[in-house]
Amino acid sequence: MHPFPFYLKLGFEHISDLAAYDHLLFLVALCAVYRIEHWKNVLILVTAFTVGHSLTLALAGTDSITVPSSLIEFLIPTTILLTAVHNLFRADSAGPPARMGQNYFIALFFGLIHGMGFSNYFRALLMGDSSVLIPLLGFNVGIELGQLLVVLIIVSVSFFLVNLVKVRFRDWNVFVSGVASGLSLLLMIENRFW
Amino acid sequence: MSASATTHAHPLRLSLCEVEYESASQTITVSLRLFLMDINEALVFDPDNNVLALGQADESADAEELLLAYLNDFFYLKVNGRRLELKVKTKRLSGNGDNVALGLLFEFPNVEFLNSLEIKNAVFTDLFFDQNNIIYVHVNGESKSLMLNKKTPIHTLDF
Repeated sequence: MHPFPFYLKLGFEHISDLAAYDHLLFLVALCAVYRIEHWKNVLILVTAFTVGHSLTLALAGTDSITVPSSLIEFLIPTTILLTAVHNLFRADSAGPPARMGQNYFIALFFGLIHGMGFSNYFRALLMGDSSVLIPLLGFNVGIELGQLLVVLIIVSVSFFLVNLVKVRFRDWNVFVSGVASGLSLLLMIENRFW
Repeated sequence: MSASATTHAHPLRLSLCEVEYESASQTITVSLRLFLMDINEALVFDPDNNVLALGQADESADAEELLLAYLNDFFYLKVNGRRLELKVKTKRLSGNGDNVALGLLFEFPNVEFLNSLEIKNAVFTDLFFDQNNIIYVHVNGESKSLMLNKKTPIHTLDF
């Protein structure tokens, strides 16, 4: 098997791995507050996250960034908590999302942090091999595809509940953000670095 | 050490194995890269317990023997149908924090020809259901990649 599709599959499967639920949790917190008609915003948002993620992961073969793993593993659930709490302060419940530029930037920045978790991992595994680029590119494309699938499911559930079952959008938002906050707080406590 | 040891934020479970053979040198080299926390979990049932200190200056006397005993249960290479006996040539650590990997190098000289290569790599599949072991095989300049795991722990290549 050629390394590219090989790592693509690995990235795709990683997203659907429930043992790695922090990634799924972030996507849920990030996307659950968008309605299906805002799918383009969601697409850009998820891609911004992947771009950030790829930037730090691309540095895995070098020693350009060395942030201690213990700090990163605390910061990852912190980004989930911040995203979930941010959801609760959304003023509108039905109109188009406000300040999308800012949201894209936040997704990109949080992507950088999430990427660092993998960056440390791959750097240790590959020990500075020269052939890091193709595996990492494949892994990231796989992650992006996996994320898009997960986001499609999240937005579909949201559509089903809000548009068909007529759950109030605000209730859905509070429910999802509450669950994400609780789980991310647990992860923060488990991963405290002090 | 953080209390997070058993709850990695990103529990991507991988190991890497590179097998290289050149007819000219008649030597097979095998490099195996395993995460130290996974090794500790497998050998002393605690990812944070560094009592074996593998690859470190104060390595415990029986650490390598314990590791090889584990590897012999979950990992092998059969060259032309004959199983190679694992003997560590070098050990090297890389990474930091929870992400420290141990690189093991094995060398098998006097392999005059290579008709078949059977690889088993089920390391850590006894611990983690989602463990994936990446294998790169380079034979006379040609490369192949394999993924071995709990479902498919063995693969045979014919040349």
